[in-house]
Amino acid sequence: MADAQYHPAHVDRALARIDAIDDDDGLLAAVSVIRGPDAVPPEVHVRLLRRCRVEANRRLEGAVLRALVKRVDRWVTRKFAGLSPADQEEMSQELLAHVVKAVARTTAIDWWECRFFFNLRKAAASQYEKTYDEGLRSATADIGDQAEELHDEGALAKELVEDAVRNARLVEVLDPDEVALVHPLFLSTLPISSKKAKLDLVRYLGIPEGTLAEKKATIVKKLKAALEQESLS
Amino acid sequence: MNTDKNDPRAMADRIVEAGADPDEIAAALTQLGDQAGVFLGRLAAHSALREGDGDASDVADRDAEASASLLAHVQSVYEAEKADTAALARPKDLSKLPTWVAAKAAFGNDVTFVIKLAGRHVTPPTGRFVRYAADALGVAITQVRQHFADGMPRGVAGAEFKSSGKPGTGGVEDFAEAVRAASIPDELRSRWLAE
Repeated sequence: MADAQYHPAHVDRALARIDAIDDDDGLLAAVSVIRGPDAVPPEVHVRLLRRCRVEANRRLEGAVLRALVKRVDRWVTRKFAGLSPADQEEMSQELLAHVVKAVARTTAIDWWECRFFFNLRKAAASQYEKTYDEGLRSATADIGDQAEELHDEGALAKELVEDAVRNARLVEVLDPDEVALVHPLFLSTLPISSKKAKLDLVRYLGIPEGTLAEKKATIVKKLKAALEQESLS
Repeated sequence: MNTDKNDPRAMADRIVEAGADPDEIAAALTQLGDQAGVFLGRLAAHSALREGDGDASDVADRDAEASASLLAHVQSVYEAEKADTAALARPKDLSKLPTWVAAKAAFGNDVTFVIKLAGRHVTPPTGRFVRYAADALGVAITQVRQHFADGMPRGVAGAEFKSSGKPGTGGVEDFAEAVRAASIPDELRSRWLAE
């Protein structure tokens, strides 16, 4: 059976609270709250924008859109803390354009009203990959013939990891956090940290250089140990 | 071309959403072969983005000029998209079953219950349900109120007919009974019966 698609409890409660407000100014003030215990969930903002399409209310629509823009922009600032302010703003523009297009594509309840942040993370993950690709191109352009220097992992470690990926051994040996780091640390050409490059893994992942280096060493150690054990058995 | 089922990004999204079970990750890596790198790249992005969806109260707002510029950009995108999809915002014919069936996921996918609603085989629902139904259908609340008001048989307003749970041909079932008989999540049932 297909998944039922309805407002989760926290969205339902917030909508009920908003619906109980019977004066316009009180309503505009309430929908503008995006911090603290009375913060309106973005799922509710999406619903209210859609209500404003079928029951025109330009003042409410304007207030809701302002609040939603602020909320997503702050989310971007936090999640992409490693990017420059200009790149963060571009990221906010891209993601918000994606969000409002999705909002306009229906007036009925959809997943944006049920799991806003999961959808936003999916959109951001795609945007992440684009940024990452651009970062790769920029890094190569910056240093020309020395691009190989950015690739700071030894060929043996890369082969080790590729072998583990091919044989689906990663998950047996590594924990989920480590699995998630395999691609950026071993299979990409982004450096862990580089002042020359426009993007590096410290900025890309928002994880300190020391922690990344430590994780990388741990992953190699675990994989080597697992492969040695396998060859002995 | 990747279908959604074997698209490495969609697979990563699904697995992350379901809680990133290591066995599922392992199965995906085996299935994906050469595309495992894309899958892992997507997992990495999710991993970097997963924490801190809260209200970001520690994050400072942009300066007024940058905020205004961002808002203006988003507004223009939204207005353009609304213009392109203007037909969606027009009133829908609630007497037509397809209008309701299109929204069945919001009614727990219980088609029998949806048929009762579309055919007005229930007494006037609770205010909370009417508000919810308007949202689910994407129409003005007045349209849903009107739908159920129009549906009451003349001269028998207030009279209630018990139903077996299947939509009848002429009888009107008590709304609460219809909700209790519906195959819907308990969470929806208690919401819709609350005033």
